[in-house]
Amino acid sequence: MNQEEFIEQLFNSTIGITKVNPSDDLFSKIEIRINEQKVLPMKIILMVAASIALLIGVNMVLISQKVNNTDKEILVFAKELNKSNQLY
Amino acid sequence: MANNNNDFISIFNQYKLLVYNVALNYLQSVEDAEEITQDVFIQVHCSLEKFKNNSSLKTWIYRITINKCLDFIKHKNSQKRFFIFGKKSNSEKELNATSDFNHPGIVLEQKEDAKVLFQVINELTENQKTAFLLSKLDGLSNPEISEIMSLSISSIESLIFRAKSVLKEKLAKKFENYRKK
Repeated sequence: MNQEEFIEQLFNSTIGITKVNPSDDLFSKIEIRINEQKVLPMKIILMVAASIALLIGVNMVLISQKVNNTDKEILVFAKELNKSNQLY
Repeated sequence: MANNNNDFISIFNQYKLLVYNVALNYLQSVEDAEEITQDVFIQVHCSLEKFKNNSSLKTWIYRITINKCLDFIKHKNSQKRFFIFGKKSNSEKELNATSDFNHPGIVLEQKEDAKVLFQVINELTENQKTAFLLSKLDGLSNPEISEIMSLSISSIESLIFRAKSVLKEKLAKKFENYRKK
């Protein structure tokens, strides 16, 4: 076989190719994935809401702790001032 | 809603063979082709309401399928690169050329020859491969391919001509190896 014949033979190897059928359960797989996509946004919304609530909660706890600490510091400072009754 | 669902079912029945076979020719793997077929119809389902009749439904579905296949190949190649510790290949072609695909739609006597042809097809550029596959395996006309690829008819003619020349060059090299054996 010469080169031209070889190339021609390979080129013609797809002649008579037939369409292949996908598996029978393909549509049900697609339906399942479509339904999953519908459920997913609700899950995402809930997760985002929970994250925001958690963030706000943590912030509130931290702020209240800081406020308490500042109050204590002022109290300590005031007590020290009262001991000597002197400004300088 | 029910009407939409009926539309979708009829579109699926009408185009499942087209989508699956384009994906199969492109990706050369039954499993990957099934996955892409699923992705295509999920996108069709999501975008059906937005579909404007600027092009035919068939053209639109062809475009989605080809884009999904190209994205899939790019993703797969990037994974392969990662696997070989980030070593970048000289070309995408090198990575694609490892196909050992037995097309289920090809007659038994021609399977070995077709396997070699598919290997070489993978070495074409994206556009050459798309134009060649749509022309040779899907039997589309140049105007149809030009609509799908959004290119002029002369560009398509040139892509197919170039694809055939490249394939002949590559197959000539294969012939040298064949003769040595």
